[in-house]
Amino acid sequence: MLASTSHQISVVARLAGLSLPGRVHIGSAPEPVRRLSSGQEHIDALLSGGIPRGRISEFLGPHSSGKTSLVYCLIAATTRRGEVVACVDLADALHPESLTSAGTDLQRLLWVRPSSVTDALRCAELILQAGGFAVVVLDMGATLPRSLRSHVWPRLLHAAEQSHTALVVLTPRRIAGSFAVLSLRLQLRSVVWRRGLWPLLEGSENAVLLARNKLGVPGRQVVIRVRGSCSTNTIHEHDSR
Amino acid sequence: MRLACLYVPDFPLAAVLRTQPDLHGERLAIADGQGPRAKILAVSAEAARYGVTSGLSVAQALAIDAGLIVRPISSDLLRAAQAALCDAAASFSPRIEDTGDGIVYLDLEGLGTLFESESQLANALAQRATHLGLDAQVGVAGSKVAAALAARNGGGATVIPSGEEWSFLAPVAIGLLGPSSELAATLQRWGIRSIGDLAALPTRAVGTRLGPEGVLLVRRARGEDDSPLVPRSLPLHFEEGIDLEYGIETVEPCLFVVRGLLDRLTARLALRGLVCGDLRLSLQLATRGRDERTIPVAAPSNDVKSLLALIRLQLETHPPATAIEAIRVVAVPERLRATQLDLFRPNGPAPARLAMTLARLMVICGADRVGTPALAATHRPDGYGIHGGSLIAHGLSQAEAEKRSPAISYMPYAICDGSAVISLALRAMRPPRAVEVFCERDRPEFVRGEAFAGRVVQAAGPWRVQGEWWSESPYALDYYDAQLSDGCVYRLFCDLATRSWFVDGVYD
Repeated sequence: MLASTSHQISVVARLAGLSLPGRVHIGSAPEPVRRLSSGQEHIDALLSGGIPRGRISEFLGPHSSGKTSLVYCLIAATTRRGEVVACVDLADALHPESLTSAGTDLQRLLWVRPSSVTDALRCAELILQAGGFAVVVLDMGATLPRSLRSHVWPRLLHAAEQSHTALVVLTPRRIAGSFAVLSLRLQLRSVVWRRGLWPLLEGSENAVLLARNKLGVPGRQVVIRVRGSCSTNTIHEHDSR
Repeated sequence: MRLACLYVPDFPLAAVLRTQPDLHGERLAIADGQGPRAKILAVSAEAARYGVTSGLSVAQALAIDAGLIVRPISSDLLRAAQAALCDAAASFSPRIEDTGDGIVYLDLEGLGTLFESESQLANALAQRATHLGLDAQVGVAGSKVAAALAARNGGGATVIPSGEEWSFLAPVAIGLLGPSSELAATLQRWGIRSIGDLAALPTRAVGTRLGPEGVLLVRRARGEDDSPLVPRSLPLHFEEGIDLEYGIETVEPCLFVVRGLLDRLTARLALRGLVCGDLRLSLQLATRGRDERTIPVAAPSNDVKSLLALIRLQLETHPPATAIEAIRVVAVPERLRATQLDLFRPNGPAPARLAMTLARLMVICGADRVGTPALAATHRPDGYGIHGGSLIAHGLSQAEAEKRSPAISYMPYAICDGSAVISLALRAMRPPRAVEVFCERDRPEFVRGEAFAGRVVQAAGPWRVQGEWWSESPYALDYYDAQLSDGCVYRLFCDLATRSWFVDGVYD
């Protein structure tokens, strides 16, 4: 009885061309989720192996919370493995120098700069449908529009599932609702300065909270250290010379 | 030395049939222009059966056969057909002489090892021309004249064995040498009907009686070349075009025509071992204007379906203003990079799908807003670039990837003391936001802007960045890292030339 119900649900979902949020599995073992290493052991441990492929993950936080640094770390690790990443940059905030500092192979990064939210979502869907990308980063910027249509998320999830691409949404607050399997909330704990006559910005300490996890236990937290700035890098370059 | 001659009989007719293959088997005549007074240049065998011959005017031809289809020839069509014939020859030998009017000579030196016999080679040449839509005849001989006569004399492929040119050409009718009508009449009166008869005449005596033209004809009858083979490198120009009978106003019929052009272009490119890069589309409009477009092809390929989809996207996004009367397509040739894929590296996007996706993205965002990020060749801190064309090198080898990004492991603060350490990223603000900064003893104390404002909690700097003083746009900037009372850390700079302050990024 359970097996037939599960079959019916999956058939309806297939006919509708949609994937069920959270994948309802009744009476059968769930499909194993492939993970993508974030490039940091501690984050991978927090996420039970890494960012899930074929799913939507959200990185939440205000400015200076460290979400961009964490995403750049993920992009760098992915491109170093030879995989291709796309960044749909609604905020037009991508900084190639920071990406290079994080170790990104820029040749394996597709940078798309749409001018509106609608265009950004269309671009993300097109890239997901093309397939072959390991990660698609959707950077929604600091301010979100009030009328963000929710019906795009099942389509994006379906496209991500089909292409086994991890869709990572960078946003100040949750927007994908129940279609996101993972929500990492980042928060600035302290800014680290090198004291002295000539102070330097060394980085920051940020807390990463696993606020939502449909594939495991939520609520765990880890602290990351974000190090290096343009100024300190410049000083180090001069020192090395 | 062995030479081959590729000869297309009734070249204007062949050039039209190449672009409109549906006219095969029809009563067709090719005219040198529009209107009833235009002269017929060539006719199909079906039309010839009705008594239509070349040299008539269109009005006369239509009077003989009312069902005759008349097509005007254009220089573009002839040029494209001749280029296609050269491409067919170039796929065999780099030493080619293009003499025009459907004739191409090529040097067969060194091809003996690739083919069992010369007849096999000649057949392969004829097939290659047929593949490009041209029914060519092939002659192989020891001289250009003999090869040309062999090609003109027999259908298909004709090979004259080395040293047997004389015996082969002797029985051939003298008309094949193309004498003038006066000279042909004189020779007819003398009873000289075959090439062998003419070649047997003493040159000096012929010169005395018939002049230089006669001497030239005798030399040609003996298989002696007027000039040696003069090979020239072919230009890598691939263009196909068509003049439409009536104006096309919608996209769909236009794409139907473009498909045929792309088919022919890609066939030519493939023969030369090339692939189609960017496409240049030129549409002649009914208003006598011209609509020129360049369609970037991110993943060069000869896949007509993908190329057509790119053109469709372009035309649907920006449809032509009025009806289209002629279409020209130029393909920028590119060499396909042969790369060894790595067994242990994951697959990237399929090139054709990637090209399609990029084209769609460019339509949505604009061509300058899609590509791979790049560091600009400048010390200016806000310098960056975006490469749209050569996106994500397909099959980029590991060695090449490592060579391109040697500093990939650069991470200045990799402190491994138990907690995760990652590199600090800056979120750029484009363009930099102008702010008001209140300073005390030359240090920022308060920042006020449209989007943010706050007291400076901690600041580091300044770092002076200056350069390009030799150019018209020098820069001299003092940079600061500043944490405001809202908790965020911003990057500020003061433009020393204008003493104005900006925020160009926030650390995140």
